[in-house]
Amino acid sequence: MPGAPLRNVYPKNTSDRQLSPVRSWFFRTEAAQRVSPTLGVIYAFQTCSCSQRSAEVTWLVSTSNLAELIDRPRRRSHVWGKTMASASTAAYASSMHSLEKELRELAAEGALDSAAAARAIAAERRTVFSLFGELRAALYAAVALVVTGVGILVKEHLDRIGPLTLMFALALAGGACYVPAIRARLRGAACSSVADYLLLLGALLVSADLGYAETQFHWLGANWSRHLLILTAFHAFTAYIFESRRVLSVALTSLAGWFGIERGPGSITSWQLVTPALGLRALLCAGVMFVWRAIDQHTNGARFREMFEHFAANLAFWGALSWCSDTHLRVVGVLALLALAWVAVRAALRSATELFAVYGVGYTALGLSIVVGQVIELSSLSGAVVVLVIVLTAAAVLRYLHDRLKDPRP
Amino acid sequence: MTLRPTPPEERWLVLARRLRRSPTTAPFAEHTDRWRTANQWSRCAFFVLGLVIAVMISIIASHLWPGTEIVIAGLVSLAAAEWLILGRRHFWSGIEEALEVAGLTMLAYESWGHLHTSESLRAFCLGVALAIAGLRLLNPLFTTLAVVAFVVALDAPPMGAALVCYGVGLGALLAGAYQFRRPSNDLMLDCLVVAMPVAGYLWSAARNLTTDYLHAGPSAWLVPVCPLVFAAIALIIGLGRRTHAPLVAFMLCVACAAYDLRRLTGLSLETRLIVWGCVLLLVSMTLERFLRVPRQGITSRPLGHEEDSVGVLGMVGSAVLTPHSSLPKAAQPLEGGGGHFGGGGAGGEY
Repeated sequence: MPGAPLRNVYPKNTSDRQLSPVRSWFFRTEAAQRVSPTLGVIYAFQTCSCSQRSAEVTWLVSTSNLAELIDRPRRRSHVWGKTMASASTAAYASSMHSLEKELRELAAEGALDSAAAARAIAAERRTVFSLFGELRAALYAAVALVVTGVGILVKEHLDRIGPLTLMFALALAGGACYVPAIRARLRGAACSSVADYLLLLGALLVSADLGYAETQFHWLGANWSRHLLILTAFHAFTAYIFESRRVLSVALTSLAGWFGIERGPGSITSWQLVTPALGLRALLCAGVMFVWRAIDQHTNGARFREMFEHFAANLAFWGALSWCSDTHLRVVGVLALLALAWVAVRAALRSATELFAVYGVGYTALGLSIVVGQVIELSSLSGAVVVLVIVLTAAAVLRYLHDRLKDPRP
Repeated sequence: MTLRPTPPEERWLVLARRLRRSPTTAPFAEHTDRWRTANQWSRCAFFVLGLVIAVMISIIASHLWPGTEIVIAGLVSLAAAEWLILGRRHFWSGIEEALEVAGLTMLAYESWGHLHTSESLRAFCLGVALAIAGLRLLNPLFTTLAVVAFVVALDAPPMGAALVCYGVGLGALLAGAYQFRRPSNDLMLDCLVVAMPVAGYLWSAARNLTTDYLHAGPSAWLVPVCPLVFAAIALIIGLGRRTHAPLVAFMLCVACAAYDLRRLTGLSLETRLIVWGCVLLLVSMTLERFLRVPRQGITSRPLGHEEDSVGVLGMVGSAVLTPHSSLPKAAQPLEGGGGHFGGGGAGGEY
């Protein structure tokens, strides 16, 4: 029913302790419960502090009675409400397809709760339009530009700038990048996307600084590669402090670097996608990451579980692939590959994450094809038939897993 | 039996994908007529598997029917794709897309191989194959590649081809005002809006790699001015219609123009990278802060949960930027790696 008010609902199984002050206050108000969810939201918005206000926008946008907020301009007194009212006058949706009709149908059938329906309808109408993706791409590009520039600067002008000056400047710049995240942490707020990307920039500058210092002064001597371990510890610490997945990525990459895992393919023509010697290193690194994941699960509520699992899965599969490409380790490689595929598929079914099924099936098909390419000539009839059978089986298994993950059985 | 999903079915398929629900279960099943799709990662994996299947079919055909292997492999791939679509109700699943496009490309290759045609006619044949695949499967990637192939087939001078690309991009931008019933038609136009100006820039810049704009004539300035003009139009239309594709095109066009004008300032590469990186960082920060409170409904906050693919890409992106180390040749097999230190993703050694 177009324009019908969509009631806000108190989140099920949510205690006040889990909600922020604004949210818990809002859900307790009569305005929220009886009079009007819209007025309740606006009143809550007016009474909270500026920092709380900015932190609550996401929640309001995602869970409030957005459709009603936009459709009733007379009730608004807040600036935000006014701007939303002016937005409602524009017919943005007229220029693109809109699935609003289907969404309303779903909501009417009860297949979609009112909050989700309101959010989706607002997005379809484009009365709310998020530039989050574009800004994130711009931030990533900015970080990449600065980091690459710094890398070239260090490389090209080492003799002119001087090591101490360079180290100090990098440390200063890196430290400055941590400031917004520290401030957010002191306020008790979550890091914004800008603060998170600045944190990433800071982490990368710190990595560059320490790596440069080690190459210049050889503080660790023969154990110079341990600076990567130091970086891993430092980045892991900051990642946990600021709850930053990006910085944890840097930490895990540094850890892989300490294990001596190279990036980049080997010779594709000879069916060696990675160096065979790296197989054990990759598997060991994946093992360490699994242990770390287990610790994270017990101590940190598994907040970074997906990160560990993706990193570890890819490393382990590349390790097994490297064994598959080695003449002496081929059998072990195939067995390792099959075992890993089994683990990945089980993880996919358990966590309903289809990407692990893709890892399990895709890497296995690739590994078996590599072995076939080495044992039988791939351009021969038998080689092509065997690879075709492998790929068809992989497609069928992946399809089965896809259907099973999409259609959960009772 | 329908050849592909009807517009209402397609809309429900898109909705099921957006809401991460299966189109074969209630309440979507009654609207989607048993059509099956795959999500982003599975679709990519199926596409790769489909391409491998097509290649293996061609190798087998070369042994069994030498001389006509391409035609037979093409026909078999096409038949398999059509069986998957019509018999198994697969659509946007990846594997049928790979088989269809591979089959049609093989047939196009066979056509130009027999006709001994010119380069432009080959591109035209390829364009026709991609266009048929794109329109049959409602795939924006294939239709965009088809348009690029047709521009190659024109055999026009670089600036002319570039202007054609910008024209197509502009046409797609304007055609976006029309409300299509199929979401895939919007997606096709979106792809053209994003890809064509970049293709146009690459065409025009191919011969102007080291233009000194301080001493160049007005015609040389067309190369950076065209993307800037397109960027301005795309920005206005994107904000007006509140669609993402023109905004992405705006960002890419500005990046193209900035790259082309890189020598204008006379600064060194590293200074340019750092300065423009900082400028971009400041602009993004300001915009993000300004739009935290929605302005006219436009916000910098996410509206929903992050897609899985975005999270994984973010993880990969951070890992790529991390200064990497390589194993020193003399290192022990199981000791920590390290090696040549490459600062800030730049690679190389100090």
